Amino acid sequence: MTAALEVRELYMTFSGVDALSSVSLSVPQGTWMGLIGPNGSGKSTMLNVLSGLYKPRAGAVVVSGSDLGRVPARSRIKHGVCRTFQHPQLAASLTILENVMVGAVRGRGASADDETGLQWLARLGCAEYAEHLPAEVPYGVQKRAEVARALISEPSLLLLDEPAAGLSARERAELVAALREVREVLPDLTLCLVEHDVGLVASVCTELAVLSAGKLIAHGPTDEVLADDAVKLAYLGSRSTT
Amino acid sequence: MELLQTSLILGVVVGIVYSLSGAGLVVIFRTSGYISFTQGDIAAVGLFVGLAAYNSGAGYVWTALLVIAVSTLVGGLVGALITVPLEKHGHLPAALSTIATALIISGLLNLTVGGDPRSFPEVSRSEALSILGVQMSWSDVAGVLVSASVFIGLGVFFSRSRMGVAMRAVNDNKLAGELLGVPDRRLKLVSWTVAGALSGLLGLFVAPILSLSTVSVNTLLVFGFCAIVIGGFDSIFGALVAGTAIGVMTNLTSTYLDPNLVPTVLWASMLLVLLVRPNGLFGRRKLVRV
Amino acid sequence: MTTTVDRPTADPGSAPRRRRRLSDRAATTTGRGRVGARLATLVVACLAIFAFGQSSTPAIKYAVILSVVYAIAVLGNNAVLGLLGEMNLSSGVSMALGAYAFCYFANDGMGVVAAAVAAVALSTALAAIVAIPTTRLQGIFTALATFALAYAIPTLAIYMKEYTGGDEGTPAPFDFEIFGQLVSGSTTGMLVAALVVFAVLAAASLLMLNAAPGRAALMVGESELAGVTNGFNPRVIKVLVWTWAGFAGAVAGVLYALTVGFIGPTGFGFMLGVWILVGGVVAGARSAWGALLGGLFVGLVPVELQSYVPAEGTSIVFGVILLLALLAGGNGLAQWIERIGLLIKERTFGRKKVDA
Repeated sequence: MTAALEVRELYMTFSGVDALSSVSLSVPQGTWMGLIGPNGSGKSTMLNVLSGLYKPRAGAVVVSGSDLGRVPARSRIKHGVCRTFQHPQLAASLTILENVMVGAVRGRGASADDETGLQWLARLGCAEYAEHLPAEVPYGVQKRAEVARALISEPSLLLLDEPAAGLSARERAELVAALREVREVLPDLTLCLVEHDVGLVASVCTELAVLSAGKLIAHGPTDEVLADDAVKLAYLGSRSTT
Repeated sequence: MELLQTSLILGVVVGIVYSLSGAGLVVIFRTSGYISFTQGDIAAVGLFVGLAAYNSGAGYVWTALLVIAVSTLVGGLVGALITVPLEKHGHLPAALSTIATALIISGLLNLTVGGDPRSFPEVSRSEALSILGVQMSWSDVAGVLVSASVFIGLGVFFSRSRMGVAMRAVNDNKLAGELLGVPDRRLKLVSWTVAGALSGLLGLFVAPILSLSTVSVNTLLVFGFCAIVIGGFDSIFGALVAGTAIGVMTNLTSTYLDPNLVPTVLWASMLLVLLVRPNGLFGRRKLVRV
Repeated sequence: MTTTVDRPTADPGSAPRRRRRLSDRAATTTGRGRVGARLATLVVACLAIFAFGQSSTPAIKYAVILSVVYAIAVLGNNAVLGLLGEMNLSSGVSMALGAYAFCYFANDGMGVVAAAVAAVALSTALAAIVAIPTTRLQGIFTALATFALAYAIPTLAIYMKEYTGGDEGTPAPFDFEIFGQLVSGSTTGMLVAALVVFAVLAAASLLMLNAAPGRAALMVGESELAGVTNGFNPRVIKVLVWTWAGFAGAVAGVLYALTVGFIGPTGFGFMLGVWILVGGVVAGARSAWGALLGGLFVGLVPVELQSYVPAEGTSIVFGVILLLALLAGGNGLAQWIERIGLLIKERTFGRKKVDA
């Protein structure tokens, strides 16, 4: 069976510095993988490469068997790749529901109607805000609206960029509940979650991949990776000093 | 053949002067992230004040200093009182406010001094030297020398001084300037003041050629705009190279084709560069920050 | 629980009943929603302008007709400004293209209608071609390229004298009639024709703003990054919006030629594009009927001002009005009028509670 996501020998360079160096990993379909690492380790770069916003210097990104090397960012949604942003990117003049429905226009769920959009918002616990503008709703709702917009495009690979950043403890709890709901409804969805809050990652992800200085230093089941000494040193060690 | 040499050499001369106009725009762009439409009118205020002083007996040097002083002051005031405060509504309103300022200043000038073109004094018409058979006046030589030293000065300022480095950084990242110990707002005011001084200086060399009127100063803007789009927005060096190229090109166009085609050729070359190199010849490619 | 029929069956949560309406406040700030009410406002505004024009002196009526013509260009330019947040100073260029091409075709022996259609088609195509490199500039920097173009047009028109008549200009058709009504100068037929064309284009842009094209343009204009990752091609969308602006400008140019009866390079100085942009900002870039206000600002206000301010000083008043509009948040007069209307409504009927 082909992996939902396969990354081979990925290199990304910014003005001579390797932001990603020889990263290879394979994620089976339906796996929820957390991508963690200290600041500047290359997590966000990785997400930008996967979503096509950055062009890697070398290496391949293969999603469900098709090589996305020549697929521009705007066409990746058709290949089932969709993402959210650390700072929610919603159109300020569109309602939350309209923003969600934008994901259906060019996505694979082109037949989705407003009901489907509302349904996703309800599952993520923010249907009551459907007719509001982004500026009128809490930050956490904006972030979950982005998740709904991504989901309505019927992705096979969903990339979440720090969905919990900037959220209160209560909003984090709501987010975790929402993500669990998503996993229940879409067991085949593959998820790549970039997040600083390791506790949150561990509570929803079955696999962890750890980046440090652009290199993949560990990848495996969550509990094994968290117990790994190298990970403790590189990630948790450096985290406790900041 | 002599016609060609003349267009080329005098093209370089006016081109270097025109590139100052681009440099003024780049200085504002670097700190604020938008473009000023009011630089031509700022220069005009200084030039008209200077002309009044000259006509009442001030020497050229005093006139020149007065022009620069007034433009510097007006530039700083426009930035401090109008445009920078409007940034709180976003870049678009701030840029639009420079259009509003331009309308107000040109209206005031039209009311007070009228719209008729005036001749403006220059350094000296007498021949200074001759290159390849092309005679250059002291005005030409002064224009090139002063512009070149201003460019060197700006280059040193941006790469060596703490404030210059902060100015480069502030548009990329608001915090960067503050980390370097220079507050964001002060940087912007400095850039508006410097840009005002640059427009006044530029006006000194251009007004004798174009003759001074409230409309003719806008020519500076067009040349400056083309210089920064072709050269790349954040590059002072790019403005210099592009400005010089524009000077030569416009001279060749008006010599061999038709003076009426000059603005069109400018615009077309700008579009052509955009098609081939969207960030200009010397602009950095911007990475999307996510 | 009989109301659950329209709920999605698989929905575990409690999805509220579908409400398609934006809140009044959101509708006011975004200029979207309430299409019926806005269309009605548009019609009322057009009728008011018609009544005003008819009851004025011929000189003022002429200025009103020109204002409606400018309003069409403002409407097109507002799409670039209000949807994409980009600055276009070349609306005067689109008008020049439309006007010159129209006169050329008409003087070349084409019928007036055919000449108008051909002129608009040609100008729209040219606008699309020019938009391709122009939209490569980020955001407000499109102002630079369009400013340079606007600056070039008068001298280019002089250079191309075979087609444009050079300095002397070229005459426009003056005997065009629709339903027996002369459409030229300050005739009632001209006023009606300009208003009808404006109303049709304004209604079209209002409907588009609230449909898929408007949503796509807003997505790209307000959050380009998300537009890209959701499968939109920002360049294509931007070029389309700019082409629409060029189309509206060309239509305005044709009507301008019919109104003025004669066109020359001085009619299309670079300031025309500035006025059209400023008219849009002052009146409100998202409002269809507001474009009419913007047109009046460009076409009528200078005429009216002349009784109070010398002609040379008109631009001071314009500059001050623009500054005040920017200080007020840059949302434009139309939005403030809507806000006041909303306030009156709330005072009269009480603030409606958001239904549960």
